[in-house]
Amino acid sequence: MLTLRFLVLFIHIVAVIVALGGSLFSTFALAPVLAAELDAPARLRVFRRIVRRLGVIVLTSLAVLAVTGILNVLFLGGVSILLAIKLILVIVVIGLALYQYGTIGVQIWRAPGPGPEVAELQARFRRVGLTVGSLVLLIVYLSIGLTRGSGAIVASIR
Amino acid sequence: MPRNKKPRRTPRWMGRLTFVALLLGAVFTLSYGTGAHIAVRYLNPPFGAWWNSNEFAILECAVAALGMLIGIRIGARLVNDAALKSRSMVAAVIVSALVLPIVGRIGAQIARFKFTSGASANGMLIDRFGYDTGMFLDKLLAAGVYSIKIAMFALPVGMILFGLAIAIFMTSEPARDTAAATSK
Ligand code: HEM
Repeated sequence: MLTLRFLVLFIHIVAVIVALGGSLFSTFALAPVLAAELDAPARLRVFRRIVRRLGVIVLTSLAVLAVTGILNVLFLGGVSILLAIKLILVIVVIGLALYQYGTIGVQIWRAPGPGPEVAELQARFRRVGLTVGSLVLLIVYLSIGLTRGSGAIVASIR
Repeated sequence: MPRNKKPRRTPRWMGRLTFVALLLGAVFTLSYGTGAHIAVRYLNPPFGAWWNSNEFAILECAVAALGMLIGIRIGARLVNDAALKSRSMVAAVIVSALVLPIVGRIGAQIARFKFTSGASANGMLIDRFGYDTGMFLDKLLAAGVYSIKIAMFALPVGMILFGLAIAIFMTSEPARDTAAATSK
């Protein structure tokens, strides 16, 4: 049970959980509570801190996913159309995450104070975050087919 | 009247690096695909021997570098802030250079894997162009596809290295605070 291949796959899946779980929590649990409980300046201050922390968490887990993903391919010893589609989607997800944190996130933390522009940026930040989350879910679905079903590279874990 | 120049989207050094990687990648892919080391050996035997024993490693590194540089450039286009972007680009390029041999090696290993659902172009090329030309074109095509696969696997690595640099620089910069507004 405890082989290097299992360990790498385990880290790969943990990174998915961290990337997706953090974004879902902040969008569906934290943001509505902040909006209900805090006034605009305090909300912005907290939001800024979250944007930065979440940025580090999401981008780092994407890096872990890329590294462990490549190792997974080495262990599997084959490449399929499904994997190629997954790779393209991963590139889109990394791009969107960079836009979300590197452009919108930076604008939010550089904003002088609360206002309609910042509110619009926060809404856009959430929209892009939801798109990233949905694409990650799609990638998870495709990934299941990598070792199972007709698109499988190998039948199952040896 | 001075012309209103638009700021460059990509720094010149980055353009040059990408050009060098592209040039080396193209030259060594063509050389490997056509067996050009024989011509080099004919002109200069020791250099030809060196070329033959190293062309594969140079090809791997050049196309992996090209993939990573393209990844970094795509990432940089998605970030608006000029200072953050340029710092992150420099950091990502330095780390890419350090991990280049590893990425090239692993990329090459993956590129050698067979596509489980892939078809071979060999028969079609021989049918169309005859045996000798068909075999020659098939080897050239295989070398090209091999290089593209390595670059494709290196691209997300470059992109995510840039992303990591963004994450690190993002945390090192103090956030503008609204404390004054709230404490009133
Ligand atoms: C957003 C990024 C990614 C997500 C959400 C993701 C998700 C997953 C999940 C959930 C699995 C487990 C599937 C299963 O056990 O049936 C998996 C496996 C796999 N992933 Fe990823 N992945 C990502 C990035 C990558 C990358 C970049 C690569 C390769 C370059 C990759 C290659 C693989 C491979 C080959 C497997 C099968 C491993 C095995 O069963 O031994 N993944 N991925």
